[in-house]
Amino acid sequence: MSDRYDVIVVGAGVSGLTAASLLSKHGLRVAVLERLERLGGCCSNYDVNGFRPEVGAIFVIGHEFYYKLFELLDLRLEDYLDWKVIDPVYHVYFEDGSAYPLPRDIDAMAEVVRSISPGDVDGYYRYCREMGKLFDAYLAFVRRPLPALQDLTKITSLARLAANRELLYALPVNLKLLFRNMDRCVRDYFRHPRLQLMFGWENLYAGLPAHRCTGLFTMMAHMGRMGYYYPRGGMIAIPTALARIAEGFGAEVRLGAEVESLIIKGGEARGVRLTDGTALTSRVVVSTAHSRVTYLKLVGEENLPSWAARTVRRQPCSIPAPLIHMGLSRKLEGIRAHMSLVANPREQVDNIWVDYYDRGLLYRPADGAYLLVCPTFDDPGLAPEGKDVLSVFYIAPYRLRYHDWDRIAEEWAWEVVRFLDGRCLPGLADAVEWLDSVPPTELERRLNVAEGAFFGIEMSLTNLGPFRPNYRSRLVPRLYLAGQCTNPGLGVPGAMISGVADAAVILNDWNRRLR
Amino acid sequence: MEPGSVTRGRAALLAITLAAGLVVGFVLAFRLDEEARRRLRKTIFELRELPFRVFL
Repeated sequence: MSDRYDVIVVGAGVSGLTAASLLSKHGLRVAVLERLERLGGCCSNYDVNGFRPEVGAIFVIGHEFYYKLFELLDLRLEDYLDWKVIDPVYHVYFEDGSAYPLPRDIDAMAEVVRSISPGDVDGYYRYCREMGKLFDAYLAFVRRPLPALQDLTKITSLARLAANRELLYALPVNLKLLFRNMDRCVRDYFRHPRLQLMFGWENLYAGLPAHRCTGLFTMMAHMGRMGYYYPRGGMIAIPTALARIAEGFGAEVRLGAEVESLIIKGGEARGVRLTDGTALTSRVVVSTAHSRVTYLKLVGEENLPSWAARTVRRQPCSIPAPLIHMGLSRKLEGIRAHMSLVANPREQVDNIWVDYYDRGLLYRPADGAYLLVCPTFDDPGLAPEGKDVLSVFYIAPYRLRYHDWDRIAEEWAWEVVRFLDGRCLPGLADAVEWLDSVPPTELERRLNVAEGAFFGIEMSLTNLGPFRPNYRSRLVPRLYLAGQCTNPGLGVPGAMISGVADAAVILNDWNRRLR
Repeated sequence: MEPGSVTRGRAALLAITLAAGLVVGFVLAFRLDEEARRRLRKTIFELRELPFRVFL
């Protein structure tokens, strides 16, 4: 009996849709199956009474990679996506009531640095010069024309792409950052604690405190200067564009189709079984789910060697990013940027990890650090006329030692709202028209991500590169993995790159072992 | 001197060195603060898991 599809992709997130669009462009019969009724997985928006907050991903970093993807698809990105650059990058509120915008312009930012600590301006420009070298190397990499998709994963092609003069200039900085932690790197450039915080908090995106995070993340603040982008229509615009492209090439995208398990025949992945009992056969299965979900639930422990199941279960997750979404009945004057950081002194922010996170404790709202995201600042269409959407990201452990998230989520959210109302957003509590508290346990249920960690597996050196689940599963033939749990991980472009890599590996394998 | 006595001496030296190393290791480990102990435990765990992760 012939297979119904060449490739079944589990999950209509960015990685799955990227792989689907590339594979269908190359003539394969592809089906994308999504459990939810909306596209995008963690890169999406949901809709409650016209309020459309982001589910997880909040902006686009490295938007140049998207142009590379469209180059591979022989399409023009401008025909599908409309970017807006985020400026100011952040607005920072400190505990004493002072607030600073962090503009994109390098010299305008120098004036902010000067207003806080004139003695740090030289360090700031040194920071910009050194990070600029890294950024130039990155730009030189992404500006080179790509080889054919099948050649992309070859070492020689990658080396040819990466080998450039800029990379050589950036090597000393690269090595310095690689072998130091972020805390030390930031201290190397800035002496004032407030500046250390302004340039050294984005480790939170890696899910690690600054003293446990690689110094390479010091680059993040500079990336913001070079441009964080936001697609018109919200983050869901990205998967929507990719789904349109995939369908244009003949792929089938099904929403509300939950995969219960993979069909394993002779030890190989040969299709999927849906929760409604339907069995769909294919030559290849691509799973974009968390590696724990893929291996322990979809493949099943009974189909794995015991050491493999144990290793998958033990591989540490990144931190959860619990959220509080709000629909506001009016626009608040206190919201002055797309993204704002509400912070305490630097030591207090770092101590959240040691004093609370590692111990499974929840802090008082005043002791926390919060990232406020107001997508309607750049795209008013994401809320009803004259209203705003506001999401609050914070740090909290997956398991609480003394509480149950499901019981306290709502109460905790209102405590945070009242705190923010008092600290920096007067009138917030009264303006809340709709509130949705999403603690890690709820995030896990909604997005099917282990421990509510939508950054996937921990981004530490021992969980990167060869130590992350392989694109081509080494445990189950004909099973391919993509998404946050594979390389390179971290964020929307990471997921997209994994989708490209998966498509390249599958096309290379197609004639050799998959037909 | 009998050939066996040299071997016994070396074995004793080895045992004493190992025991001293263990004692020094324990003393150092107990003197570490909570964060350093956490890092040590994590490093040992990660090193133990690394070889298996390559085969996923």
